[in-house]
Amino acid sequence: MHADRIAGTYLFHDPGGRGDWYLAIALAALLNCEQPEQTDQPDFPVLPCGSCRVCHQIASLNFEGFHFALPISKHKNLDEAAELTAEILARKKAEPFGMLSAATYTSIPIATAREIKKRLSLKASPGIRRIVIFYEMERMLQSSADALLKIIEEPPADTVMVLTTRNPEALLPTIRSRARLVRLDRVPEVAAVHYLKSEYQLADKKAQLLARTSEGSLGRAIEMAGVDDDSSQRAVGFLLFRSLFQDQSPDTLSHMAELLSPRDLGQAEELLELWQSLLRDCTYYATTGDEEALINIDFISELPRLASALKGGEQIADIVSQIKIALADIKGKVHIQGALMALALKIKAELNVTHRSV
Amino acid sequence: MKFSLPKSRLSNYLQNILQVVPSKSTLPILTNVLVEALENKLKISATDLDISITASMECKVVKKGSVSLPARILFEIIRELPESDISFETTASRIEIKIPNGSYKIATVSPEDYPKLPAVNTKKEIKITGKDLVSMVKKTTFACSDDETRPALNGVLWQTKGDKMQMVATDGHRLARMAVENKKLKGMYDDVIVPPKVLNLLAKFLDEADSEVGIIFGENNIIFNLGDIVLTSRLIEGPYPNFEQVIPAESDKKLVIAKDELARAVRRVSTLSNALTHQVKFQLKSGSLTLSTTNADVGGEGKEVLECDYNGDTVELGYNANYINDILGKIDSNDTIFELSSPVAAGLVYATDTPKDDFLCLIMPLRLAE
Repeated sequence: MHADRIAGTYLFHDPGGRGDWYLAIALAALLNCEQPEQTDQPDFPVLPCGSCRVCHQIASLNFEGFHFALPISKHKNLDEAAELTAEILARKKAEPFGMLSAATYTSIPIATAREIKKRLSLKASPGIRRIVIFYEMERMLQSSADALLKIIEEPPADTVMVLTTRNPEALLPTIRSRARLVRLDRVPEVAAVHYLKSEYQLADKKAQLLARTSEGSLGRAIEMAGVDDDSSQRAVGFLLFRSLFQDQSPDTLSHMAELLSPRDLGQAEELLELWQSLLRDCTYYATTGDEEALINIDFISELPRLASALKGGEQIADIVSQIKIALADIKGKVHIQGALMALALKIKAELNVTHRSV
Repeated sequence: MKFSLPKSRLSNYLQNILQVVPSKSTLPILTNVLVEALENKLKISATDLDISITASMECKVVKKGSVSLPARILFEIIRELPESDISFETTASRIEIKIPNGSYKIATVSPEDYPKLPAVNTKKEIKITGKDLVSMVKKTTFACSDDETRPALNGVLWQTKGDKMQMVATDGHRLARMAVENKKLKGMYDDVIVPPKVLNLLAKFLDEADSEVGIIFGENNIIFNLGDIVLTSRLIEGPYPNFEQVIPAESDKKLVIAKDELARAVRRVSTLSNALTHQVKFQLKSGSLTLSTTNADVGGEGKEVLECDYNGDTVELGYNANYINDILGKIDSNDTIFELSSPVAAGLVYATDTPKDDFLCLIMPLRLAE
């Protein structure tokens, strides 16, 4: 990225944990570093030094050019909103790849957006390029986002807008069309392993397992690293997945009710994403018989047995489609447990487990 | 860093500085102050990034240095101390506040983390009488808008025009313009739009009306040098709308009325006005002004007739009572003049003892309910 060829507004598309925050902060450093370093890499001719006063302020999120609009939970006033935002910033400062919890419904408050808009109407301090970060923009009401169209289209002088999203389709087309889209690739497994080992002192084997199973989401790998094995959400998710194939009784449903929080959207999303990943592994194994490329290597001993229960392309496509619909439903604020149970019943019916089990 | 100074001196300045420190901020460093011990002088600075303040005070400095520490904690400790000399000394990552019967220790942050404050170049400074400045501020800032969709109107336009400088503020419904003579600024600077917050703060600090204020006009900011206190504010991006075109050149109706009597009557009648529009009807007839309002929500109506000097045609106009009273509150004379034309045209309001070129308010009428 060349500092002199910077767009006014960027839209970082990060499905989760791939480094949208890290990239936004790096962009702020690139634009404001007091002693940028020239490199011989054609893609990165200039890099921030990382050691000057401004780089230090940016890394500690204390840079005067920052304006943050983050999704926060319900609050009473601007002071409380600032406090909630500061809490998220403290977490982001500690771990830039960490993902925001989807456990509670949060949104970017219109009052914060208005405040930022008002502050941007003041002239920037000399030598400062302001960076305005609207994080997970899809969590802003469309009517509120509408009010930002003008500054998104034409940010004030010395200002770069960075919008991030997990799902660009959830944004207004008018916003998408005004920003330069940057899609973040999966974090390479080698890089993720290195990060997990150096930052979290994980053993090589565990780092590799997490890097592989997180499927390019370093944020998810970090989340899983922090979960105790016994109570691992992955283990729970896998047990429930397996019971879809095996269980002829309605116990799966009661297990779900016991193990999943009725309000935890994040937990439900993670469960369904895990099921998608496990289904991909099963399909891949059923087709190729190759264990090497499987992602969920922590369940590798059981995946071949589950794969053998799959009947073929049409059945798998139906299940995948049901999971996608359930994912969309739970994001649409339907009753989470109800949606998951309905999905479990549909998958069971698809797999016809009352007549056949593995 | 090591220094000492009397409690009262430090406490007074901290109280002023705290007015700029945000109570909560997404940038935690902004809830801190920057303390710099220089040669026999202590400088304490705070900023919310829009406004910065630096107070300089005499101080016995044993060892120079600088540090950043939480503003409110510092203030609350100092405020409660009895009058005595207080000494400060930094250790590794803390500052120790020593008093005769004890000590306090507060964690500090590196001064490098504190935002860079604008440098004050006194060579570019222009001196203006504090009295003129305060007068312009007090008579205009009330009319600023807080609508973020029209950011220029969130500030006060400060411009030079001939031998005069003037401040103008408007929110689209009312406008205030005040001019004073000042040849020092003549033709020297472009118009600037200044946030009202810094101007109001300035007026608060300028208690000695005859003192002079040094002003430095920067490209992006404006600096007010009060000697021991320096206030800096970022400027608002222009352009400011062409306000001159809304000021009517001629009006065919002129009303002169006792200001206080009108203000009190408007306040009384408006208690029954619509809670949203605060509309009060002004009915002008020869020699009298009738104020009236009706409120269907509470089933009430109010009416008062005031004597006035008016000889024109009968006319009815609607005004927001709050706007009228805001304007009347800024007029110093006993009587006030209204220049009006039609029920949909802007009206001018000004004092009888000040030329309207020097201080003028404009108010837009409301459409009268059927």
